Amino acid sequence: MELHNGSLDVEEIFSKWLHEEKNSNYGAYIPFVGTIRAEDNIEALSFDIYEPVLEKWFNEWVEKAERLGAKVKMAHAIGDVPIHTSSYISAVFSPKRRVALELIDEFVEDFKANAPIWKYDVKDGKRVYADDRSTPMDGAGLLAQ
Amino acid sequence: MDLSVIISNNFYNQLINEKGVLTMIKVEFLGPMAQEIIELEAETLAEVATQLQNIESIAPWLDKCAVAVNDIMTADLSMKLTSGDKISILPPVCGG
Repeated sequence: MELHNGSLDVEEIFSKWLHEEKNSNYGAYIPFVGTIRAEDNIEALSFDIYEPVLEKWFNEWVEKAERLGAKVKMAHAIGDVPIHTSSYISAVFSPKRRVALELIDEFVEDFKANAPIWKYDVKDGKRVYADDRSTPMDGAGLLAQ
Repeated sequence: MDLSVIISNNFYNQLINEKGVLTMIKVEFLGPMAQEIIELEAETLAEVATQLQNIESIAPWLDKCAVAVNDIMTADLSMKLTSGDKISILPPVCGG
């Protein structure tokens, strides 16, 4: 897992991961690239990350992938990411396509639901929490009981 | 409960009751919550819940926030706490 300040260099990360697994004998490499879209007059999106919990979340996925003979990788941006650039890349490598196709779906969906990352719209240089697009994590509401 | 009172209650660390040293824990509020770290006396997560529910700026967040103790996500309100534990409050997320 790698975290970068600002936009991700998609080509560099793609080719680095490809090179890392060049001789690993994986038959499938499926990357997912998240790009910031221009909408609602935003200039950028901005991200806060809580690394200790993100690392634990990611390591559970590494172990889950290993049990299937696969490997997961992930890169995410911290801070401001201008429109039309990338904030998030994940990828699955596996010996055959089926495992990778299924795993990339689960991996990206669980990322959206449970990775401790907070998103803000940047408009006129101001950060506004994207609360309408955010999801309570598994187990949310415990302290409201 | 007044937030300023809780924050200034560092002196609790020095206090001793009949059971021994009080269990002092830290609570941090992540992402958009924009709230300083506070220190509380609490034996369980349930006691943390009761105290946070009485803080006006925090209470409205609680029904949508998840909780980690020492960076491990938990769903157990009866969890026993130890002095120095770090409780993290995690509001709704949106990575990617």
